[in-house]
Amino acid sequence: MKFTSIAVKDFKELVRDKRGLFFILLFPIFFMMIFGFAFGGMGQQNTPHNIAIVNYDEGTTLPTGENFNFGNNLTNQLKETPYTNSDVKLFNVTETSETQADSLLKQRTVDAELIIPSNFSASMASQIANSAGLTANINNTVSSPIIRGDEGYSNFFASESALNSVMTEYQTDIVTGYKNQIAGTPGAEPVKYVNTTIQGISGTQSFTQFDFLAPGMMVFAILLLATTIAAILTREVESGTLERLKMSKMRSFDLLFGGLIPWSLVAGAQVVILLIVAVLLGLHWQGGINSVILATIIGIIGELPQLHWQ
Amino acid sequence: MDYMIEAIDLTKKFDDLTAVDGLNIKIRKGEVFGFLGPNGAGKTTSIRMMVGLLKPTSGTILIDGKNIKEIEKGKIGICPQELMLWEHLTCKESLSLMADMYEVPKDVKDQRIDGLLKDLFLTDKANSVVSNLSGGMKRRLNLALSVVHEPDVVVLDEPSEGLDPQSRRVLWNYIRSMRDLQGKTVILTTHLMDEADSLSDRIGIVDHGKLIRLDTPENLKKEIGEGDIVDIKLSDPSKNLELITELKEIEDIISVVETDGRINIRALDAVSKLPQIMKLVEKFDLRVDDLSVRQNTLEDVFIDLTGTGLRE
Repeated sequence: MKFTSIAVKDFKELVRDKRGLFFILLFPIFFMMIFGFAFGGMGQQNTPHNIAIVNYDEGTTLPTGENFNFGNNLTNQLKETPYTNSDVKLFNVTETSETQADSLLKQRTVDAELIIPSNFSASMASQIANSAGLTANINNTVSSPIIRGDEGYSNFFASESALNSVMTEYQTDIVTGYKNQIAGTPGAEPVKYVNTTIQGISGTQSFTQFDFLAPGMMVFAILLLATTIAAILTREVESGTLERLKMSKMRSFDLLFGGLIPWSLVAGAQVVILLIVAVLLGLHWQGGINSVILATIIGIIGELPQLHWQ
Repeated sequence: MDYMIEAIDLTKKFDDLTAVDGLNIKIRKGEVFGFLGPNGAGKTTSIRMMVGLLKPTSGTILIDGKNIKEIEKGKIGICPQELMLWEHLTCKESLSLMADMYEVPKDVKDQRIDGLLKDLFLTDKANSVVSNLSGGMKRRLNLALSVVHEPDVVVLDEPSEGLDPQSRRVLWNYIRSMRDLQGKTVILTTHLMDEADSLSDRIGIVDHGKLIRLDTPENLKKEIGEGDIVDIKLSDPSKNLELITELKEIEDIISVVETDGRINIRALDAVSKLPQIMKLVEKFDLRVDDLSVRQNTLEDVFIDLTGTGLRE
């Protein structure tokens, strides 16, 4: 069994060549770490829009007799609204004064500024009264909230459209809610407004760029291993030992198959190590033990062409 | 006479360069055959063809009467000029690996490896990794790896290159023991004339791809002239020619020549001629600045046959 002798030889060379081993096992880990830190926070595709809210709203008395400040309510609503299918918040809200907000805007610390006017609640109440047909209560207050921003800044448009859509939805919800409440069935729980809660599918909440890169990194590691194998074979050629072996009774099969065994072990170990590092760095690993075995086998198969190539 | 290796009209061409040109050589069983020649003369090419590592352009090679293509691997052991070692294996592991590759039976393997390590003074280093060995030890291991399968023919390509005198002695003794105790045929290429002289039974000198002489060291030395050489440098070299004419009169002096302003006298038993020579020198009222007497060496033969021009 000459291939076993070759396998033992290759394994000893592999383990004793500390520099080589370092490159094979640690280098891909370094890569994984660099990519992990570089892309780990990125492309949580849903990044909150940074907005500043200036709230001048003075509140109002609703047709139901209730005192309510719609400005505060809207602010809270904006703070809470998440992205669709995600638990990432849509806005990162800073409540501040107008001057401060303008300066934040100029520094681009915030993408847009929402100014809620003092009569915002009053106008909301008008709208509710109007749509509910309570003509007595219509005082025809019209408020104009302002969305202010740098029109040359792309993030502003993104934030602005998000703000607009949320605010429109807010108005519709409020109006519908109160309409139902006022015309509502007695004894029923008064519905304040339709609170849209959207649930993200578990596991997909915060996929980052790294989740897409990590499997590629493992492939990369295998490719790196291929160059290392090539280097080691070159060493065998350069040191003349291949010629020595060729003069003996060894067949190509012995060299190839013998070499395959230790390298398969290394490839397998590499896949496992990289997987562990990737998970530590924040890879959202969805598979079970089966997928580890599969990944290992794929890693090993990845080695096969390299060996035949020699 | 049994021949181990016969090369018949062996020719090797590399593009327009003819490295080996119609070489005919017969190497006897159980001899140490010295293969001499300047760098680039075609020694290594010839040897590589004779052991089957290189395909000749034309010609036939018979090993033990059989065509080289039919012989079993393992009949020949080659110790290459360069070190061919696994840097990360120990001496013992390397030898064991090669023994496995040559299918040496398990029951004799360990014993043989121990024997080799002992003969080549590597026992202390048996478990040292090759990269930690000295140059001489690596050379010795390089040789051990080539003979671990006990081949009938051992080819050593410049084995003493870079060895200190002690290691060289170990090597020489080992080469002699391979011939005398194990009856192996050894082919040796070398640039060290004293090595070829003391080890070889016969010497072949090749130049420009052709065999120019093949004989025992003694016969070769005789061929370019018997006797010793007296080399004299006189205080006044202008009188050299006059002296040479007189010197030629002395009985038993074979030749007297002037080279580089010095006088070279070749004579049988030169030491006994010295008084006569000195008398003549005094007669011309000359002094001797430098004088040496040396025996004819294989190096003289080599230079005589291949010239002094550099080959590279």
